[in-house]
Amino acid sequence: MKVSRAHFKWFALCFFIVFPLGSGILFSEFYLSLLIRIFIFGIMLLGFDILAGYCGLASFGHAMFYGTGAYLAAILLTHVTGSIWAILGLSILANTILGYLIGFFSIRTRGIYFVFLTFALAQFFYLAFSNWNFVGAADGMAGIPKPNLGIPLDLSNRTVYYYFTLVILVAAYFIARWIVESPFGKVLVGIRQNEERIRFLGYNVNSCKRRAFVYSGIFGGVAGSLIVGYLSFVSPGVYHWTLSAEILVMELVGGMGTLVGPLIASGFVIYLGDFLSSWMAETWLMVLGAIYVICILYSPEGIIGILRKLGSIKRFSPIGDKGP
Amino acid sequence: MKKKENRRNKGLTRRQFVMGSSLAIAGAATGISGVFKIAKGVSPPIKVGMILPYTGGTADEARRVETGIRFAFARSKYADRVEFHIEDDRETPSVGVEKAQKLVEKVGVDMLAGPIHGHVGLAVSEYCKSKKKLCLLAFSGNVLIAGKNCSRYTFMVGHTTWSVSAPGASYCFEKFGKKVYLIGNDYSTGRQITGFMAAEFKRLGGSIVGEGYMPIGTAEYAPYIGQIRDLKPDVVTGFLTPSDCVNFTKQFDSFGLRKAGIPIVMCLGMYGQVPLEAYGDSILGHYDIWHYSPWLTNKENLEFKRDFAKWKPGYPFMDALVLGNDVGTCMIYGLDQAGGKPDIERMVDAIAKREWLSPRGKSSFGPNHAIIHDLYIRQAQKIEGETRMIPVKELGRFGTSGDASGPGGECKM
Amino acid sequence: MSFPTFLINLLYGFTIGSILILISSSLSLIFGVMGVVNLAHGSLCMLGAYFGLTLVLWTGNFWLALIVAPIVVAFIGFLMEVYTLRPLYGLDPLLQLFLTLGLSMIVSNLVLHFWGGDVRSISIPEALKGNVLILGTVYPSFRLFVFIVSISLVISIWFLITQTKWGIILRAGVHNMELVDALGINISWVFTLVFTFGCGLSSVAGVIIGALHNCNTNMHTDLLIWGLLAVVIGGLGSFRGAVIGSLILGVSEAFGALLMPGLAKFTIYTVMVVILLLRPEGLLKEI
Repeated sequence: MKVSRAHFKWFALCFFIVFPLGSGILFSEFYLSLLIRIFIFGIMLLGFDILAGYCGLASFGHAMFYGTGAYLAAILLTHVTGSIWAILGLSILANTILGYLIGFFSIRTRGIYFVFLTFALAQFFYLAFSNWNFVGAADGMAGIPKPNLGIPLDLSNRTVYYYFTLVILVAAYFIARWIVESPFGKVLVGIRQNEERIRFLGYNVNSCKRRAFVYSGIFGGVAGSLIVGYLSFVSPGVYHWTLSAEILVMELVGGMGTLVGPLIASGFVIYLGDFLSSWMAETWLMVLGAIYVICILYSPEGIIGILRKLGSIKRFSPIGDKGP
Repeated sequence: MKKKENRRNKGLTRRQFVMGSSLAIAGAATGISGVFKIAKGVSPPIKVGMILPYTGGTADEARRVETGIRFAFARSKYADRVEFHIEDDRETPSVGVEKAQKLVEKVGVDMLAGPIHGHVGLAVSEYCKSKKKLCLLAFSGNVLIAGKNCSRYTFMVGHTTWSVSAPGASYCFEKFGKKVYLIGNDYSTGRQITGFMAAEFKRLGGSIVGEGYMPIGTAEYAPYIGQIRDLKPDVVTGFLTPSDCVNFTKQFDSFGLRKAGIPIVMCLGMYGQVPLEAYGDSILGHYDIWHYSPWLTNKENLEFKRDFAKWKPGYPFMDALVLGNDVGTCMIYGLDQAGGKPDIERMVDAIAKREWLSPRGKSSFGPNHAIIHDLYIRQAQKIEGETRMIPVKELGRFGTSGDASGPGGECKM
Repeated sequence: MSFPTFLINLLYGFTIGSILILISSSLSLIFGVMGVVNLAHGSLCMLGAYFGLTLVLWTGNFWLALIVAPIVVAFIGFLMEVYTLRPLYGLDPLLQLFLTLGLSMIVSNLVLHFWGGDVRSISIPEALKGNVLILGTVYPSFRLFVFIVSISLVISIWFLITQTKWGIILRAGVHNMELVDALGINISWVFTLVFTFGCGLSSVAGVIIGALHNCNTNMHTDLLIWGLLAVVIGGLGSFRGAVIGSLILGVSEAFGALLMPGLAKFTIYTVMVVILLLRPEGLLKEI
């Protein structure tokens, strides 16, 4: 039987909806926590795939958006409001502006210089927030109050938060799908394949790239706000370049430009990291690095490439060549 | 591009193998470990969790704290029942909290031996407060945990940033002079300590002739040393993390300032946290403020060193072992008082009242659960060919107050 | 700031800069010739420092360590290039970037595993332990030695690049690798040679840093970032650019801490961003 992509996704969704019922009984509550983190990262990876996978802009500073969403949520929760809707709304607004600005500057560079520039820009944020005493400087803020939904469902309950993030993830997925399947999405792919050609066709390439930044920034910002709502903690580490690197690795390992691939990869990487660190508290980073190296050497197309072969799943979107 | 395609075809099989096998191994091991747990012995195990920075600059400190705790349990009647669960906090508060969650919820530990770094310690302590789990901090001295962020379930077994800095200021003032230069890494611990020293010096009538703050991991101290040379203070004091401490002290000496007679007094016993060979001769004659020295001559310390050498012969003996041991003995005491069961509430009540003779000396807890310990000024001296931190002055017993005027703010449990 | 202090700061700004040249120039050339940004460069430099430490502990001879440790690391670099980088030629440069990132994780954690996490120092030979007087100020002899050694190495490499046959191939390769290939020179081996040599060169810096500062398991991050900054400022692929970028960074580190405490790092990144926006090729285009 041919397992189509749609079947696979619905199955996964049902699994995640039913999963919390076993929590505390079949397995520890901790796994809900792990999945919440995986969902949140997944939201960010969806946006990042639009930028890096479809448009080909592999930014090494994506933590900028995550961090901005995180600190915004932290400040709002501590000083202004606990409404998660207000926080998400403001996070989306702030990251729209940030995405536009970062996009505006970054797209002036190409290739490796683009990587360096995005890296340097993210470092600015890291340094700035490491020195800003209002948000706790290098130590960050602990004990941030929990957000609320405005309806009698308690967000500090882990199961509730689990479903909340799951809902947002599903919504994010459909939005991302809609973006990449729209004509705009096709233009992004075109830009990655051959920018000149798209320009000759009359599209404003720079404007499209900036839009890609804005979209991906919004996803990242939402993810950042969600993580703070959950952990009640923030520190400058949310801007650190190792986080940007982790995002990029998940993107690569998952399969660039497939949406689902990086989503799966985020789960894979987070779960693997958690699993390895219990068994080898001291050497797990080394093993993780070895796995990255092996993955890159032997599967440049990532997890999706494997799945494609395993279940003869139809190709979703043409990745094509990497262009000249 | 044929080469690429061939590679792709060959690579796919290997790709499947790598991905599939790592997932399979992970799944199988999780399953196996679950089964293994069910099949374990009759007497319920005592699960002790440890969250320490195993991958970073203080990795060996982490191992020493762990070894100290293991030693304490090895000598106790719980040696067969205890299970240690160890996680790496990567010196990051959010990771520390993640691991705390994992240990408390997935593994089911009853008590946690906490992180080394102050900011990670604060985050983990807050988490344990919310989950009502016992948290014993061997090293985290973040003074807020003795004040605003105090918790019934958290005990600062090592020290606080105040208790190993400010009480030493009067010694510096009397012995060296009124003019002080403050140096510190620019983060909570560094700022707290230099702040306390500055306040004490001002109170005594001294003056601060200069200050230098730099990020953790600074390699070049020549600019600050140049400043010190120009300003000519009577004493240099403050706090630097291990690597920075080595850099600063070595460079201080290489520019001739040690021979010029300016002493460095490091707070928080930083001269005991790195094997002293790393300093060479550059440390000789300098001081630090700390609640322990391997060369204390009290009975408990001599016994401890002897017993430890029997348990792990050849293991280099350093301060953090004693701190780990103190954490371990507190846990054991709590268990004893709770009837051998990890009843957290009874354990907490028992530990809060504990007064004991540690290798450090007489130890107990204040009402804010911060340790009250003896304090010494130690000096680096070369004895029998090796560099040692020798206690040269006993300052008395110090705790950290948790009232509104205290260094960490008011503690309300 | 007094004038002697100013000059002393300048001198060791150049000293730090000259050590950085060893790291950044190799990084820059590896990019120029191979198109690879070697994110493992910091870790390999650190490996050199730790090998140097072990050699000094075993033999007590600093000079031996200074020569042998880079050779060992160069060999490791050779293995890395042949077995992990070569299969990725012609593919997305991002993959190479991430390969080197993974390698960096492996190497730095291997160091932690084998040498432990404590801070260590490479002991300086007795002959270099003293001080000299420069303008009436005490200045450590070892720093002077470091400056002389680094500058000599840099000059020798410059000579190699400009005057020898290998140097010509290198410069041609930075310009246009395909043409070099077309001329019948085996570029695979050029790549391997450049990478190997680059690793060895940065390890010399590692041994020096291990003695001047210390060996610790976090050093690779800063080394890499400083190296990258110097390379971006000077221009990727340009040796002279790496020299200039490194000296600029060294001097700014020397003075920045005093003039603008806390802002030093900001300034560096601002410079990097400005250069990338206005002139991404860096200050110099030519090797």
